[in-house]
Amino acid sequence: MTIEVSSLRKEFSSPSGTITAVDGIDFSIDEGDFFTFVGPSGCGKTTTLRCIAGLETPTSGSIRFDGEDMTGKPAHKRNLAMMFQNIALYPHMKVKENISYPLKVRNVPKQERYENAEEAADIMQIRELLEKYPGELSGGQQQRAALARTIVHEPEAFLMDEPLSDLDAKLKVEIRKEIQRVHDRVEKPTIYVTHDQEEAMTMSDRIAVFNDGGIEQIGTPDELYQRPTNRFVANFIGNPSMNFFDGTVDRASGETVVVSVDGRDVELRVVDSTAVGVGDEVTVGVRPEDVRLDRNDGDLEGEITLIERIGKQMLATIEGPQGEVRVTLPADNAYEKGEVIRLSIETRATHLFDSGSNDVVTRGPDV
Amino acid sequence: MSTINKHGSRARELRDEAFEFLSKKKVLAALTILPPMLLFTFVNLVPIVGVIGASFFSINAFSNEWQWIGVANFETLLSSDSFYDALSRSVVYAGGSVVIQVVFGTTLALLLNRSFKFVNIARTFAILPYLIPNAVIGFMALWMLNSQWGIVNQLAVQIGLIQGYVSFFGSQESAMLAAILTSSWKDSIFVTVMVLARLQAIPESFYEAAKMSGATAYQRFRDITLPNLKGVFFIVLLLRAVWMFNTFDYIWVLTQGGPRGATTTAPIYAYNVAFGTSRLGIAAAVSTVLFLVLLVAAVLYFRIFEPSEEVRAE
Ligand SMILES: Nc1ncnc2c1ncn2[C@@H]1O[C@H](COP(=O)(O)OP(=O)(O)OP(=O)(O)O)[C@@H](O)[C@H]1O
Ligand SMILES: [Mg+2]
Repeated sequence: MTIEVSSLRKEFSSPSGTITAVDGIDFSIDEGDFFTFVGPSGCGKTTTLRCIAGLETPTSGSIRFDGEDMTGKPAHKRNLAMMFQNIALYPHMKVKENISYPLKVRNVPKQERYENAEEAADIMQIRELLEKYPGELSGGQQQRAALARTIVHEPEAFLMDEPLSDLDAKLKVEIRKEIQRVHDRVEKPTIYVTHDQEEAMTMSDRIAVFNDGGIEQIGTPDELYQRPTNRFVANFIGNPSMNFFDGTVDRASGETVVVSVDGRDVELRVVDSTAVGVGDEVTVGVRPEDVRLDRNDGDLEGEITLIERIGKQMLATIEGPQGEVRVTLPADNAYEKGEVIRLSIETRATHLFDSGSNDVVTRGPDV
Repeated sequence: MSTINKHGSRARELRDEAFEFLSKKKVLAALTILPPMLLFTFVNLVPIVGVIGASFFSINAFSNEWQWIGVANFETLLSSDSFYDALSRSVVYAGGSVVIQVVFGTTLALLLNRSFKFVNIARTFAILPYLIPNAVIGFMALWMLNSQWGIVNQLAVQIGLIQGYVSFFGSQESAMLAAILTSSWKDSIFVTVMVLARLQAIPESFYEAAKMSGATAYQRFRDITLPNLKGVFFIVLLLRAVWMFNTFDYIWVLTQGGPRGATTTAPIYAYNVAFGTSRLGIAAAVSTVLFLVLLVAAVLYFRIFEPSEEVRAE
């Protein structure tokens, strides 16, 4: 099945006025795509998902499955499996009855239903919980039971709203794999909602970055990481997140742009210097791994205010006149908190954004 | 200034002392538990024990002479057919009323639980009859069902439901049914209120999850709504059954137990024995037996339906 969403708008009326939760978004999902919505809290991810599910009626716009308009088709006839953000297991049914409920409504015999429930429970590692009631399960166990319910459903598409938010880091990685395995096996489109950009980056075929009711950019994880079209996406994707310096264009010719950041000239290589003109206000974006520290040499200056470990590497935070800068360092570096240090930017790996519109204007050849 | 200050601090001291005193565990326990205990003792316990005690005496209503006669009252009672008739009429009256009240009350609750324009006004109007005293309901029903000018007769004839005017409370065949329907009109609202409260507590997300699983409206009702109502049905059935079994006021206003005993339920029977024949000892024995019947029925009900199993929600 394919899913096409065009000009989707959803408004809610509230006592204090109209809230536009989704403000005209377009995207399409192909057969077998793993498509992820990411974005900060309250940006309209759940609302969009509920419109696709048929639980909300769009204010305007259309949703098509395989080209067929879904307006007016009730949720229970769309044959989609949904994992709710608030889990929504039935408290009066045992876990096995919960998991097999999509089969019960299709009048599958009890024996067969429970066999399916057991298989799904095995995948989610909750076999021993089948005879319990949801109230007796931990949050993470409930999430896995709800996931198992989507597996037995055998739907036309999966809709998952932050399905792993209550799991510990190790289990998260394991269940993530299981979700992907199920996805690969059934070859149905999956829409996956998360605000964890790392989860999005590792699981998805394509990602839509939501912000304030709209979509900022849609692309593969690599596209979003390497070629963000605006500052919001550049900032949201990647952890630790990108550094930004505000500056003014001093010179632009050939492959070179010189930006004056806080009175110091920084020379950058870009693919297209004609995109900027002298005097333009721009924002230079550079990832923490593309900034180098040195005790003597560098364009910018600052004081190390924090050094913390992130995985194999260390992350240094440097305060300077140009603002806060995050830099990744090898674990065996000799820098210490409190040191005043010089910074230099990897000149071929920067993104230039228009300071007014925040849209990208050009970028380095090696981003 | 200083006097005000002194005065203020004295008041505060007193207040603090009072608070301290009231906060003592024993004082607090006594103050909170004693009043209801006293109320229970004098309003419930003393009359109950009194009635049970009285059932072992022969009592003259006018001279207030009590004469111990052992279980003779019970023997008389249990060998009298009219008592068994009254008891079985009580079962019919209570059973019929409970069925109608639960069915009608639940239906009304389901309707009022939907969201539509003016739903709050509709709810208010539906619940209003509950504020009318039973006796008033009884008199209204008497007039509405009157065999000569009653609006029900008039309408039923006009629509063609019946050929001629019917004396609903005057015929032995229809009196019980008419009494059941009259009592159920108002008391269904009790069921409505309880069921509606429960319905409103069922999270919308259960229904949404069921929709996503492909459940039709009927399946959602069967698998979500009904199981969630089990607990409230358990309580409502018990309360309504006990209440209707003991009901006196409606029937007394409508038929005084007539015609020719057709609506003489056990409470009416007890009243007739006590004040019609002035045999207070036997009347006390009737009440004692009714009490025991209800007690046994309630215990069996709890045994069979085990609420701890049924009342599983959230
Ligand atoms: N039923 C509703 N009535 C009114 N406003 C709503 C309703 N549902 C959502 N909203 C509003 O719409 C906006 C988008 O909400 P939505 O639940 O889609 O966000 P989200 O992206 O899923 O956020 P989160 O990551 O926190 O789950 C929010 O501002 C929210 O307050
Ligand atoms: Mg959400």
